[in-house]
Amino acid sequence: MAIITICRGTRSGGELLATCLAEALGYPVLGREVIHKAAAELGLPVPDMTVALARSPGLLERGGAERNTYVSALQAALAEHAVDGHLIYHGLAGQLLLRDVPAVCRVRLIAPLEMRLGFLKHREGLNGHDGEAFIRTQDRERARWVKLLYGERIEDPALYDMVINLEVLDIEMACALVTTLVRQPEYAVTERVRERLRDFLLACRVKTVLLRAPETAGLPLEVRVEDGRVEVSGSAPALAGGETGNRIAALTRTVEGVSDVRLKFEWFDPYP
Amino acid sequence: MGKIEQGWWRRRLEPLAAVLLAGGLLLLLTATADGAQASATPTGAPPWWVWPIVLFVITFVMGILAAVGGVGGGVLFVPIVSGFLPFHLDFTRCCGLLVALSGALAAGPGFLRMNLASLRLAMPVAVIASAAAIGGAMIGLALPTDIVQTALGVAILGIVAIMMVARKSTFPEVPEADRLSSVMRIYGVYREASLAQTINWKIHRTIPGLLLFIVIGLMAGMFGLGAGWANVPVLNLVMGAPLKVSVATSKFLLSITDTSAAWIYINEGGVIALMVVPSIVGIMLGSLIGVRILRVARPGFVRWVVIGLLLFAGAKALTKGLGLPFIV
Repeated sequence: MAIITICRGTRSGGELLATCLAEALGYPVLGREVIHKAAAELGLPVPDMTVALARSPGLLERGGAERNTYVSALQAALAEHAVDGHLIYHGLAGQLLLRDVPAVCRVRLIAPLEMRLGFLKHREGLNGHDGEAFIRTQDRERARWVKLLYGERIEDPALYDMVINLEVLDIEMACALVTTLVRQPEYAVTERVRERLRDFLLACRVKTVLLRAPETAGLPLEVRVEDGRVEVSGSAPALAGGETGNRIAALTRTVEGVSDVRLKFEWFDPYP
Repeated sequence: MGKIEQGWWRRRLEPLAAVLLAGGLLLLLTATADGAQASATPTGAPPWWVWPIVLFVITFVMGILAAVGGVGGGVLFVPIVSGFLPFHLDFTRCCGLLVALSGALAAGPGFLRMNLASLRLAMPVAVIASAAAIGGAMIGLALPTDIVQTALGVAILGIVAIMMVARKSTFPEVPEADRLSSVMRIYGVYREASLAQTINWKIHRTIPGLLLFIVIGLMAGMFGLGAGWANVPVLNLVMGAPLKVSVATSKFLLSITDTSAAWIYINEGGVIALMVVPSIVGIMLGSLIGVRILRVARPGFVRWVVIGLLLFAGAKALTKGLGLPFIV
């Protein structure tokens, strides 16, 4: 059992690699349809969510709260699929969405431009300058998305366990390499890892609830879960008669699976 | 140039750059004030909406600087507005008290509810400080304006000195509670989130602390300054209360002390709504923006800008009171 995330540029063979791995390992495959699940959870149209994830937060948007809500919902949707311990994900920023989960095999796939243009022509009929422009635009948007959401550079090799260049290797060879890697004990989804996955899923759900509530949406909150015990930390202004803490605890308890709530807040003076 | 050398230059150049920036801001402020004066109508006064807008913009910027620099908005208001805008000092002081009060009333109850502000610590101090503040307000209104202006200049420069040298102690060493604090039961417990621990605290040097609060109250009432710059060092360094308890209790204290003094000014007709309303709105909005950008701003540099502003404002107040020329 293993969880594999594949990060790649557009039309770089990521979906082909995911399909090959699924046949070799028998794992389910998940791509951008995770956005559909997250959007359904939030009650939003999918195009709205996709656009909102891609753009910079507006001046009036409190600390990017809306965007953080979408990311949190994405993480929860992805974690729901990963909690069984076997998944191949080739959608957006898997290496970062599941960053806090152990035993995830993070793969980056790089393909030469000619190969990518070939895929693009085959699928969409775009070639030449139009094709190149499309690829560069998509790559730029992805990099910007990752930078906006996580402050990381998508091409940073430190984010991955394996970087595969399809300039020489083909998809089958790449598939064999990844299959060998995930069979190592470091990537085994043990019962402990499953517990961590369940904790991660609960943390994402709690975070989504807190980000959606108007009173807590703009607060910089971190959520940690261990065996159903939730610790919410961060900073909050000392306003509303100190009710913010009670409200956070009440909202957290509305999430199924929460057994205990602990608050670890730094209260600050918003009007010095 | 090596990294150590770069750090050495940065530590020395950064305060200088910040002070120069502060001077530039004040030049801009003076130009704005002159411009507002110049927009006078044939009746000799600028349109009624000019000064509220000017005050709103200035206090908005002050609110941002105060939040990022970790200083009180109240301590900035009176020095800058009285030094560089053509409002009478009495109205400026009243407005300054109400500005400091607005922030205290907003956040103070929250700190009290969360057990960070201590009622046991605040009440005896508040009684003394607010009585002194009433006296300070009455004295301030009775004295000639130039004397108050001069004294304000000296006070501001003193505040700058305190800001530069005063240290903070997160958990002061208090070997034993003194007799007075034991009799008055001034001790408490609060939850320290960063350590996930419950902290028991007590104080000492209660009498010297209370005496200092007489002086603080007097100055707050006389000059219309918020007293946070003085409350926190006295509570924390003199009396030995933990820093968070000191900061939170100081906030709560302001709401009592400044209220007492403000009533004196209000009773004497010191409130001009067109001054007070835009100032309060401006500083509170600015503070809200300031706490948001705190994570990306450089509080150290902004603190130096604030010190620079107060330095220039203090010198301006002093020279204004003494009738001497000033560079701005």
